[in-house]
Amino acid sequence: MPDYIAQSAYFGAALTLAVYLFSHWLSARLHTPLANPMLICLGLVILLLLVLDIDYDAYNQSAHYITYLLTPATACLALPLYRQIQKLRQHPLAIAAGILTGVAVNALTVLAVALAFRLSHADFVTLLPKSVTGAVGMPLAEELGGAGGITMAVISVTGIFGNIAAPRILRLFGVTDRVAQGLAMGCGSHAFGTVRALEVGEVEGAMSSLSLVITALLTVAAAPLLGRLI
Amino acid sequence: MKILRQAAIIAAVCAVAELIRYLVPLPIPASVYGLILMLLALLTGLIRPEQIETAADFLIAILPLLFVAPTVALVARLERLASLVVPILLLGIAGTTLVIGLSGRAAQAVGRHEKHTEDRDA
Repeated sequence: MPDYIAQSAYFGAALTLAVYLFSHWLSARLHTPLANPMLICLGLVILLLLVLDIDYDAYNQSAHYITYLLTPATACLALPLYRQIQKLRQHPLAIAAGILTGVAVNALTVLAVALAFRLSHADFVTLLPKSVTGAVGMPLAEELGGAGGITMAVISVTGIFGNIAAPRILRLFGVTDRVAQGLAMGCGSHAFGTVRALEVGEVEGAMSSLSLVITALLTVAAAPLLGRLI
Repeated sequence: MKILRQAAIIAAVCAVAELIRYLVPLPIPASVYGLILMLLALLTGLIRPEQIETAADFLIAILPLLFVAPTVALVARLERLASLVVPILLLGIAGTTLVIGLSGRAAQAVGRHEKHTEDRDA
């Protein structure tokens, strides 16, 4: 069996697809924000690998064919951005202020935590892109000398927390403007936040998808400098 | 054939993005160059939205699925992860609360000012 899995070009891909679909089915039936489909899916795949004692490299041998689509999918994020470009022209200052603040607050909080825990450079740059979509954040961390898998963990925690809590956080901070709400969700919790923003409303979803892309680009632009801080 | 033509355009953009990544000595992933190239191609009219949208909308819809395998990579790095659990949770929860709350406040404050200015101009 272990030999079969290590050689299979389909096992990991089939497992990933099946668990992903099951997680969505289950999440739709459990009416609680904690039953996030991504959280269920990641938990189940990790659990299955540990219980069945399947090596990650054996699983990824075929699962990486799915990951292969990440670069084209990221390039395609230009399409919703292009569709929203009119809105960018309508609120240029609000967008600039919201995203610059978000990127700065993110960098400062990561810096503060890294200093407080005396993290190494490698750990600091691993955590730095935590608010950025995984499509950009994971390879960015690796370019800077970090560990992409761990970056995905902090990006996932950030995204899942934002997906669950963003509307409550915005209420707490008294943010009622729909444009500002969408911007903040995309800036603070990337694609997961955008999924929630799309559920809240069309304006929120549009601003969030715009914001997640600009946040990613701005973080990439600032990363070579930020990476030198520790 | 329509989907195949769309896939060909998207794959070509990714290939050029990888070439730029290969030539430019900056820590910028190829996917980011791909995004910028695609946006420029759309803005200049080199690529029209309908030439990619079926494939593009599909890829964007399945984006969460594409993160499953890279995230599961954690199981191979559990020791390093264990040493970073507290910073990760602190940043993921407290850090994210601050980023969302403060960026929302900033956008709202400036947005209101922006609207007032527009009203005055009108």
